[in-house]
Amino acid sequence: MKFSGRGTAALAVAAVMFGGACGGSPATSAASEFSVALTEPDHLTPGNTSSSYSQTVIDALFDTLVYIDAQGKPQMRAAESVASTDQKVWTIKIKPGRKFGNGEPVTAQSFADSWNAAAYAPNGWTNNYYFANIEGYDALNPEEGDPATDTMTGLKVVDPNTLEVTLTGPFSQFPVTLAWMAFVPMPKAAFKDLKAYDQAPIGNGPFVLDGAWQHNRQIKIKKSPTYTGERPARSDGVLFKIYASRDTAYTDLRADRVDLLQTIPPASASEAKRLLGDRFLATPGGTMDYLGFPLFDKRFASADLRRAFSMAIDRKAIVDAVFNGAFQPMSSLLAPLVPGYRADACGEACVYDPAKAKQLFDQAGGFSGTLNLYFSNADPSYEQWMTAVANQLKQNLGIQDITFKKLPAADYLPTLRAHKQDGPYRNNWVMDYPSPQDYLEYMWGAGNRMGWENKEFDDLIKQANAAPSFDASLPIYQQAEDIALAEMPMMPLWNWQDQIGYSSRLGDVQITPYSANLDKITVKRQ
Amino acid sequence: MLARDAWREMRGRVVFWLSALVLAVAVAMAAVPGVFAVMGPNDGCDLRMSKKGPASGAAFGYDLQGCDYWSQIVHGTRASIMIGIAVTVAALAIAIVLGLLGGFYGGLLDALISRVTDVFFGIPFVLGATVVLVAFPDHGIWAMTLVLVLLGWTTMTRLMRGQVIAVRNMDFVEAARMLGASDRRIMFRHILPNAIAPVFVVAMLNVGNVIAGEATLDYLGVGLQYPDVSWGLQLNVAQSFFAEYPHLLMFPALFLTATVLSFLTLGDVVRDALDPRLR
Amino acid sequence: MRYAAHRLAQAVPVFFATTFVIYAMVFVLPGDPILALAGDKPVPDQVLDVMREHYHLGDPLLVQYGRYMLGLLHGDLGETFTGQPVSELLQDRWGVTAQLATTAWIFELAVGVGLGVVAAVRRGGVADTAVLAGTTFVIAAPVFVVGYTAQIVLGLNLGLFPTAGTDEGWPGSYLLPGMVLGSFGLAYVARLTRTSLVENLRSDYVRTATAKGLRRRRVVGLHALRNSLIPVVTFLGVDFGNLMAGAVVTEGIFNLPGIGQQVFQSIQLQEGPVVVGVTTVLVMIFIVANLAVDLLYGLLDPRIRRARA
Repeated sequence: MKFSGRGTAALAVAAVMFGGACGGSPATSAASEFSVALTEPDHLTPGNTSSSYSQTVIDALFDTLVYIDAQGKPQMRAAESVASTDQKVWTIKIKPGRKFGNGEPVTAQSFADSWNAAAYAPNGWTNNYYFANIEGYDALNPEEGDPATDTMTGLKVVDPNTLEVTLTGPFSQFPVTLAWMAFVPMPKAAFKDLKAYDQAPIGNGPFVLDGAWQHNRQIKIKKSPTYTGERPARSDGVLFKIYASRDTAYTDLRADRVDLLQTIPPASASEAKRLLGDRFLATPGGTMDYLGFPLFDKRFASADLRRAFSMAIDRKAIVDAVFNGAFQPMSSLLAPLVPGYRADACGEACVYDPAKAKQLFDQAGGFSGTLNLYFSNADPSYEQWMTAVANQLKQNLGIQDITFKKLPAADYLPTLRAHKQDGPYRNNWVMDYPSPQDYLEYMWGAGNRMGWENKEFDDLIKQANAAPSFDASLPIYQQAEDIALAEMPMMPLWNWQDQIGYSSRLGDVQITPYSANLDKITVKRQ
Repeated sequence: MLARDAWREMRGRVVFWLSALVLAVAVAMAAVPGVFAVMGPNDGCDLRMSKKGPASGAAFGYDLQGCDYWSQIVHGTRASIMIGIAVTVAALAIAIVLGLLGGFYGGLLDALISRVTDVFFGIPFVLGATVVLVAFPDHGIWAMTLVLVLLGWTTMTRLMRGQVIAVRNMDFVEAARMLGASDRRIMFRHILPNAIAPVFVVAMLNVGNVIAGEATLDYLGVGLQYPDVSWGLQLNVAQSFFAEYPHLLMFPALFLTATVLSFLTLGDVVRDALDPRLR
Repeated sequence: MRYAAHRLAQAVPVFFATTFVIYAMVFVLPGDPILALAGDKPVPDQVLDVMREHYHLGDPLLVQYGRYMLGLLHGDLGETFTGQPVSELLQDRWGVTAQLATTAWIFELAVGVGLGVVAAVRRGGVADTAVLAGTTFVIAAPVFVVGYTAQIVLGLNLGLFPTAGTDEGWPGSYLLPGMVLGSFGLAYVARLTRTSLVENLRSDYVRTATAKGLRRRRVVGLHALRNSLIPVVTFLGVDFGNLMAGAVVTEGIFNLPGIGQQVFQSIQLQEGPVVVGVTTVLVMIFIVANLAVDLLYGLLDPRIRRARA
């Protein structure tokens, strides 16, 4: 074949294009920067987001008052001390002399401003309810009309380094909650333009934003020049590369185009372990999957029936088949890393035993009509494990008429809220802070999705919240958990594990369930 | 007469018999799956056999739920083929009618039909599917068929219209008109056979496209669901796991390719035999 | 020219019809998008109401639609649920999708027509069968299968293309996704070209031209091909819009932040302004593309031009 002049030119262009495309290195060119795969955050204002993707960025830009160590205990960070004599009035002393990324000093007022803004209903911030137990919250959240004030009476700035918080009642879990990102400070500059601040937050942490947030593409942060705290950044900066699909992020990790990925799909976990060796970590998280029952539907009124369902489901087999064994089957309502967790809290009701299940099922009167299983269409794995559940219920309990109600995400949660579901439904919970209260009160407490009411349970929760110390509260929460397990209005399924992988460029990767600790990561000299 | 000539031409070609055979088997599987399958649909599934390959005793191995994969694929034939054929036939019928009317008469009628197709073109696939499925919460086969017809009739209609416009100015049409033929006669007897070839090609291609389209609807979360079984659902599951369990992908893909290839080949043969300009 | 003007005038009612239909479709979807945003966390009603007020979600359909159209006149396409102006969002995203769709389209056109011509000219031979078989496999495989396989084999294992993202710009980042996206259409174009060309190669004017002594290549390339292109051009016109609209899966696999992904997410979230904004632009593109195709008919086939005049 003769090569014409045009043909050769085309070949040359192709070679340059392909050559440039080969062996792509991450876009970070500076010696000591690395890239992290991320899903697009919704907001970067700490008071207005509960997404774990936002949290990864916010954790690098802000220092919380306390942080949770690898054992699940709160340790001081921006705070010097968090003390109370009666669990109701808390005195928080912050470490003096700290600065925000724009040079402003961090004072107790910065914390008060931030918390008041989140609690102020007209701002419409997602993390509003975390401040519900501070005195004065109700005035900022009236049922009708606009609030008369925008500061909570329970927040008092005693001096520039001391904040006094008065709660509506004793709350033993308060110090632990301070690790949650909603409780960080905000500089005065933020309040000049909250909308702009959402796109370009200024924090008191080891990193600051470097350039604008390029939506759906990337967020760049660099080492903060004004930071004087305990955890200065050990790298020059981080590039968050935003991916729409974690499968694609995983492929990019293998192609060395991104350095760190914390959400390797469970189906690829065994392959990742093989390819990455000790650069693959599986860390337990606080996220749990449950199967809830609609108690307002008479057919599910019997606790025995619900326990029978639980015994008929082989959690281990489902986790092995659908998640390649990457998740952990649970016999407890709490995740393993929560203080107060007991591995076998559920007892025989969560042990797979088809014979006993059928017996209990018949004893409870069986099930009539169509069994509708509810879940959202947000991820294909939901349908995969629901199918396994359906097959098991069919085989072990003899329920023949099973259909799926796969609802679009925007319809699913409202359906559950309005108690419109008429069959078992998938319920997922992402932990906010490591306390049994975070699970038990929010999911089994007043106004829950199952329509379950139990006075003894509610009283125990109140009692535990008012306990004289965090440790003293645990046994009481456990008693409450026992009641919830005995009646089984919602059964535990499994605990998510984070599948993390990173490239050979990184060192000192110390990711805990509570923080990616991006400040600790170093970049090796190649 | 035309039919007899066509038949004589087709039956001489080996390709015709091969593809007809494959399709006959496929239709048989769709009609009476019990004859071919070992188990009923979603029956006898043991989660502990999940994803095991053909080496473990079952001819095609096991799927994600631990069901016999051979049986599942056989049962999947019905949904896939029914949707493929129903959607194509319906869309082709609409395309022929609207394309002929619009292309032949032109003017206001054509403008109206064309603008309506423009609006339908603009409706995003997923939105259209989601809205239709609100009315059919069981996400059954007929719901899927309706969705795919509503979102897919426009392409062939536009093609047909374009063809009619090209053909209506040809000499033999003039001749027929001068001989006093009615509009309907001209449209169906003269224009249609000469215009339809490319539309027919696209229709045959569409059968495969529709079956793959059903798989894509499953991928986007708005498709068929348990207890229905289809190749699309199987391909969808396979996509998450096929790196380590390639058999999950290969077997339904094999069936799908064989069926689509047969439709296409059969379509080619039939078209070759019927097209007046090729004789 | 009058013809083109007439057609463009028709675009106005289509614009209104489409925006209303889409708005109504999003409105009709069940669910409460603001509540869904709160997720599993117990966000109080007072806070949710602030958002609902802001997006006027409590108003009846006609009021919401009227408000939206008024805003449109001022160039305000509304806001996403995270507070980003839709116009900014679309500007960001359209560029990516346009590059992807154009790459796929050129691929379809060039390779598709080329393969179709080869197959038609050597009808019944090895090349013909190879093209027919190859196009079948591509059609039978759903786009996500083709996409993931191509990404792993050609991008990751062989390193020929970047696996994902837009870092390499155009054309580097768009070559592989463009080929994946265009593979479907390629099969159609190749087969349409082949069929049409085969028909035309047997017609009288081709025999006349050959008898007159014109070279085969000229006969095929200039005369027969031009007349065969009507269905191909129709299809390509339609397909350009399809490529823009249907790139959801491809954009997701290759992490290209285009409008396909955006529309998909917005439909899941029931973000009306985004869906309507994107769809309106898409419909306008279809109108222009179809107009171009109709004008091209006249160019390609003199008989049509004569009839129209």
